[in-house]
Amino acid sequence: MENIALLIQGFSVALSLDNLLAATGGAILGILIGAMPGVGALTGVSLLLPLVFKTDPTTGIIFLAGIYYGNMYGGSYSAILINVPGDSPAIMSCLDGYQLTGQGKAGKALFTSNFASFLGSSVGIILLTIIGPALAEVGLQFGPVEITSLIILALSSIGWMLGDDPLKGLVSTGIGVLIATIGVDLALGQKRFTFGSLDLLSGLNFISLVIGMFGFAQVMVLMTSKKETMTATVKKLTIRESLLTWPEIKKILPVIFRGSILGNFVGVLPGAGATTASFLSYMMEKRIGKNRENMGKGALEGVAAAESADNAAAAGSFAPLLALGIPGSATSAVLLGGLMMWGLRPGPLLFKENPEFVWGLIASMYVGNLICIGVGFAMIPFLINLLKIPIVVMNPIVMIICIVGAFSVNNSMFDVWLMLGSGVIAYFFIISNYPVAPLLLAFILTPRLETATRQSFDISGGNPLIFIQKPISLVLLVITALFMIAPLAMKFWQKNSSEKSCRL
Amino acid sequence: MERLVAVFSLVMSLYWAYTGWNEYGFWENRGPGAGFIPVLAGIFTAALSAYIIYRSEKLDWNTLKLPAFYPALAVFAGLLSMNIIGLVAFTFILTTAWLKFMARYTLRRSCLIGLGMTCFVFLVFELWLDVPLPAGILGI
Repeated sequence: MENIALLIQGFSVALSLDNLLAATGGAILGILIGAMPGVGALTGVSLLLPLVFKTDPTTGIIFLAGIYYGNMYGGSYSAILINVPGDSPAIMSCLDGYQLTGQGKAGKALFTSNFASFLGSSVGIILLTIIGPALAEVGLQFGPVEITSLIILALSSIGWMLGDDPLKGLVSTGIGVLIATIGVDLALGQKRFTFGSLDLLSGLNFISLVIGMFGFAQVMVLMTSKKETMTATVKKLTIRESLLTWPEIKKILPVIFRGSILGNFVGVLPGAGATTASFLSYMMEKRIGKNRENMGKGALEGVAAAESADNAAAAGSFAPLLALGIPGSATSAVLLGGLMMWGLRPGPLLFKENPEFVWGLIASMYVGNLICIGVGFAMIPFLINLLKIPIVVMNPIVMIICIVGAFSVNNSMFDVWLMLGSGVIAYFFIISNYPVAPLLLAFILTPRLETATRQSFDISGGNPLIFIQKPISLVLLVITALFMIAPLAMKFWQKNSSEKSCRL
Repeated sequence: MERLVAVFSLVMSLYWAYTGWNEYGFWENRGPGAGFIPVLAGIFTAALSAYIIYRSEKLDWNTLKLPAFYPALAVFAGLLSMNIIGLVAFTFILTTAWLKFMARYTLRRSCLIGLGMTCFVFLVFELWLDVPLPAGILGI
């Protein structure tokens, strides 16, 4: 109850004219930046941090937080419309969102994305309000051993879950792990697989890979497609048809709820972030959802699962940041830098010493979230009109966006070459029915896996039994084993039962 | 084509596993060496790739369509000449030429769309987001 009273006080701070303008400006800029491939929340917050150096700390952090969660909304727009994720958390939204666009349901996909983002953020913010500090403490129970087991669980399931052929999914996962080891091994300071190139010392850039493998490869696929526009039914794209029907809302509500809870928890874990949250949520839905058969083929549930989780994770990452001073993601690390720049020390004392700041920020997230959904819905008519552009015109535009997006990440031409090369390789993957998403997801998880594994062995003095001595880790490993065995057991059981019925 | 990708992944994963074991070290000082992940992932991927090669059909080169590579060739040529023409001018040239020759639009219409795209790239990325887009010999 005390938190609620403090939140009400926080609203008086958040609803002041300055802070309201900061939340609105941040949310709108966040959506626009999120929709631009290659820029992303991290770059957006970093670029705009100097703008708020001299403002009041509360107003400044409200502006930056608005950019952060606004970005989560915007990242899915380009993913759904042109198959180029605006930011890495939106990768999973490509899988079903772009398929829905192809089926003439881009409006519904965008509506679902906004709706799921809003509810995901809302759940995340409510949990942050009620149990934020406690949640942060739970997150700290996840040390290197537990994180290692969690990533092994994720890696072992992505290959099985995505694509029609599990073997190809696992090969794709394996390649993702391998290319993630390119660059200097930061723990040991050793160069790996750099082939004498200075550009490879810092490893391959993830955003360039994403833009190449989703966006550029899609342009190559569209060159041989007989479709004239990005969507099947241009004439029928109206706002009314974009609205979700009540049965559709009923279908996605449980998905959003599950995704939000999972996403919020993953967001709290140090270093896990919104990308991990969105694909864990997607995989969970693919495993337990009622419409799992259609996921990856254009299911609203796929968009809902990914978007609710990544937005909830963005909200969740504020819990360890504010309560413990530990950033849950790279973007919250920049926000931490901002807080320190203003002379604030995040941690348990921040809630006691600066309640006006903390609760003003949390209250502004409620306001910013409402602004985001308003702007998001208002943009749908404009966005679906983009789909009427013929493919032959869209192709050079997407190519230019891919080039500029890849360049913008590090202002490096090497990243553009990387985007081009990865796009061509992904094209071969696509025409051979190898899923690309597992490669990218494995790529982003591997550095964290490697670090956590090393730390675990450092703690145990090289004893691998530590992974089964810790209860949370043991449970995660048992789930991994079940995930691996279950599809094989099911196949064996189905084969046996069909043989028996044949004999009868 | 699945065999081609499998051969690529087999060669790559074997190289990773071999180099990881011989050059970077699998296990050092009671902990994973720099080659730990490359060796494990390399062996795992190589085994799966070998199985895919075994079960896959012969390569069918007919699935490769030349037009699919036009975008890659256009960007390749553009990147090679980036130091001369710069990214902003390249945006205009690529968009205009593509619309003129691939979409068969009129030159005027192609130029107008090309100009619009160039303005978008320049205003948003160069001016607003301060991205130092590569300039050519004309300084743009």
